[in-house]
Amino acid sequence: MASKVFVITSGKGGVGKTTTTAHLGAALALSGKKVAVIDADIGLRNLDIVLGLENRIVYDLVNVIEGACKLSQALVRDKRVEGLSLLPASQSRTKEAVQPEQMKALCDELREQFDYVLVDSPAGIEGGFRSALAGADSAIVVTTPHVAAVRDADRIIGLVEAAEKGSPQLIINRMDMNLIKKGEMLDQEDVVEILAIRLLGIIPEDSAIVSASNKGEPVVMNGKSLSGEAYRRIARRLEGEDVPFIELSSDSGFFNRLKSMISSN
Amino acid sequence: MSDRLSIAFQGTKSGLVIAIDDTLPFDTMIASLSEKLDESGDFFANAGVTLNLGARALTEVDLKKMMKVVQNAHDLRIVGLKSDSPETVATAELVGISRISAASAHPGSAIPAQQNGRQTQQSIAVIESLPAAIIRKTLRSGQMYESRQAVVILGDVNAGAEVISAGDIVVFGALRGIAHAGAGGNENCIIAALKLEPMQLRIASRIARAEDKPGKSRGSEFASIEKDQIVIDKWSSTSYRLLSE
Repeated sequence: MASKVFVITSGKGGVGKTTTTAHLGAALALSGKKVAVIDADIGLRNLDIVLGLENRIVYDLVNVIEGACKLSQALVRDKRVEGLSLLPASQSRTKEAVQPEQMKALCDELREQFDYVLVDSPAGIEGGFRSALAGADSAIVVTTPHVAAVRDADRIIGLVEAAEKGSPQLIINRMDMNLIKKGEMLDQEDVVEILAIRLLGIIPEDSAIVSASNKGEPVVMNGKSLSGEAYRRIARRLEGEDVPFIELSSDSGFFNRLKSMISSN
Repeated sequence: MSDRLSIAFQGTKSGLVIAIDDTLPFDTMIASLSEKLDESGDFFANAGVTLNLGARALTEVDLKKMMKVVQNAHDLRIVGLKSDSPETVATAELVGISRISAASAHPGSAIPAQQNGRQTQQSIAVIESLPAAIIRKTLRSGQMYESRQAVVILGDVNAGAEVISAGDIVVFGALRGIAHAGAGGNENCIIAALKLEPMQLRIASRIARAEDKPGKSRGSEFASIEKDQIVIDKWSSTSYRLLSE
């Protein structure tokens, strides 16, 4: 199978690009794929923390690009999830250290060894985003159901389309059914109507994600959490499977969640 | 040289009006017009121009010659024509000038006082001077489309996106961003959308903004200027009749 390179992007910061890259990468790897995740947020390295791999970094992306090391030396293998590798960002350099052509060459090299390459884009629409986009076949846009995040996602979709990377796919993160029920938040239909791209998945607001990110243990490795299930389903959809969306209800009691997970399986 | 006084320029709400004395011989008139436009420098650049030709009768060749002189000067565009000559009106329709109306004052001496073409009794035809541009995509936040033509968008215009047209704007989708119709100053232009939920609407020099807590659109609507204000009405299958009143 030909490998796929996705850039995970959003425009706005803080909507969950890095968390999504980590969890989607882990979910794909758990399903038996060989996955490389690239932290393209040069100077603001985070993906290693979310994956709990920061202590193992020796070389980084900029070292590879500058020829200071081989690609294989910089890739950090995840010991818990077989098949998952991280190419960390440099913390001491800036976005200017990487040019779009170099990123493209790097992604093409990774293509030969992995089934999936996920590039975690920095926020913004400037050089850092353009470099992250350069090597990708297409984009996965992450947004939250907030007006500002949706507006920025719309901007990013326009830029991805203009770069001829096709129509991106959408992940709505931090969906809070309690707020939606009160009419204080855009719902899923509002977001999809505005952005008009394929919905890949919805991640519920889940405190388990926050603690997992701090601990460096992706929730997809934990069979129980609803957000972990949501990421696993997104991974299956990327593989071409037709998987129903998780039913989210405003009542987040454990039994309801369990019930909805069982009924939608 | 004294003939130049017989050609009057006046900036109005609906753009630039050039009134031309209908007693001037054609060749003299063309020379004077050209000279006068040269003198004006960039002052009127990009303006929409209405020609007031009085009772002058023009053939297609002459009218085209005249339009060329105006259009070659500083990107002016002819958006309308006022004439009392049936021959000129017929010619203007032939070459596709929009907003043809009667010359309601003597050209050269005074500029027509009223600028609202809808109220002109002898208004004959409203046809666009340029074919419409059809855009088959959604304009997303940060994207802008600008045209001298009327614009038809087969897609949405999202919040943060902007469409500017010298003519009408029709959105076969949701209009959530900013639309500016009649950007050259034509107050007869309209903005229509299947879902009209804009941040701002602008027609000619008038601006209307959305309420601070806008409701959802209830079907196709259009905006136009009525009594110096932008008003929104439902678009029905008979709405077009209002436009050619």
